[in-house]
Amino acid sequence: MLLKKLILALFFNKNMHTRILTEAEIYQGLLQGGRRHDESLSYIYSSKDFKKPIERWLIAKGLTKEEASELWTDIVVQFSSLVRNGKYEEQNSMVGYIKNLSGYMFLNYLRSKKKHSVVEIKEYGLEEPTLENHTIYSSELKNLLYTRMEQIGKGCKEILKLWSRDYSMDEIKDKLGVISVEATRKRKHICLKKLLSEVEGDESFANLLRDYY
Amino acid sequence: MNPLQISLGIIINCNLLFDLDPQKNTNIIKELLYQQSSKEFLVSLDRKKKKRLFIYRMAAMLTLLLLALVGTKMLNTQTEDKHLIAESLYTFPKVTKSRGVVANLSDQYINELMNKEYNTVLQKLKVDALSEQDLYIKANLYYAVDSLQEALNLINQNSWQDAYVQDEINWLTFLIKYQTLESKAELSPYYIKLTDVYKEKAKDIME
Repeated sequence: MLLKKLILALFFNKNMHTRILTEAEIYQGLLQGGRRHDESLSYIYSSKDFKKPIERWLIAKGLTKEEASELWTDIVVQFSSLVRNGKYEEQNSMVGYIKNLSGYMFLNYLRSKKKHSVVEIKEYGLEEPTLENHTIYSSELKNLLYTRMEQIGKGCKEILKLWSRDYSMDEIKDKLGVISVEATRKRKHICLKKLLSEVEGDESFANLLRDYY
Repeated sequence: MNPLQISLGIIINCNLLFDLDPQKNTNIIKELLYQQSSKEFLVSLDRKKKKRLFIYRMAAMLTLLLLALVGTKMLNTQTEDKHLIAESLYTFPKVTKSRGVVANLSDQYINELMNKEYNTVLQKLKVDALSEQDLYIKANLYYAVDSLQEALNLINQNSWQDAYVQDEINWLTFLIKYQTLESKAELSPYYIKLTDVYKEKAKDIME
């Protein structure tokens, strides 16, 4: 097994994901959260069935390899977000849906990078308002929140990040080495309160949040 | 502005999200955190993968290097073994003063030869017009100082007339070929030219 890994690493630069997940398993994993969510997310992210065609398409559209790779990360996160929010309806193929999503994300990426001053969606044959609404970058709001996150301490940041990925209190306890589930719950509660109090007094954050509604 | 208005204003300023649904706020914040956290998770995954790949590559390269070193070492050991065997079978010819009409140059260095000062004598014999005896000694000198290729060149460049010298030269050639050729089959043509005495000596090599 080790020898196989060594040979693959030396000559083929192959990714070493061994367990193959079905689309149903990916979907369930993303909904379930926690470790299974991370497994599904990393599977989509590195599986050649998803990653290669999309990255190739993005490069063909004029992005560099690094840009395509950066955008691919955003696409995977966005897809997962849609699944978790119940916006993804199981269709013929997950790859097809992700390709469609990539189209919107690509356009937004161009807009955000100001590579194209006017980008017409119809040029790309994309006509799905649900996706369009959910792929608009709320970068300002995000940046503001992430800045506020820096104020609440490393420990709190870690706990809230795991909570946001729907890790159970038991999983968080194991991952962060907290004494008990109860203590974990308490800590998460305090951290979230701390973050909310950080953002509550921020007028620009409140305004952006209103827009997000 | 009355005190009530002032305190209301303070409350409003302190909590600008008061008019928004707290649960909805929490959900939005969770969603935004989710996006950041997932992205960081994927990026860290990528970094770990690259690091792991680098370690595997280094390990694979080190393994190959080690195998190459062991292989070279084994090859050298094999060559060294052959050299030791040949050395155990070889003795430098005894040189005595020539009683013939032609005086040999090597006759002048009998003492040096007895003292195994082979390089010194070899330098003296690097002249033209040497007798067959001198050439025979010169070939042995080359062999004795491990200049196998030079010894072989000298042997091949001359047509040896004396029957005794011929037998000795065949033996010397066999020993050189044994150390330079890969297989015993390649050694056979040189083996069959040997006298019975030398064939007996070479038996262990050929078996």
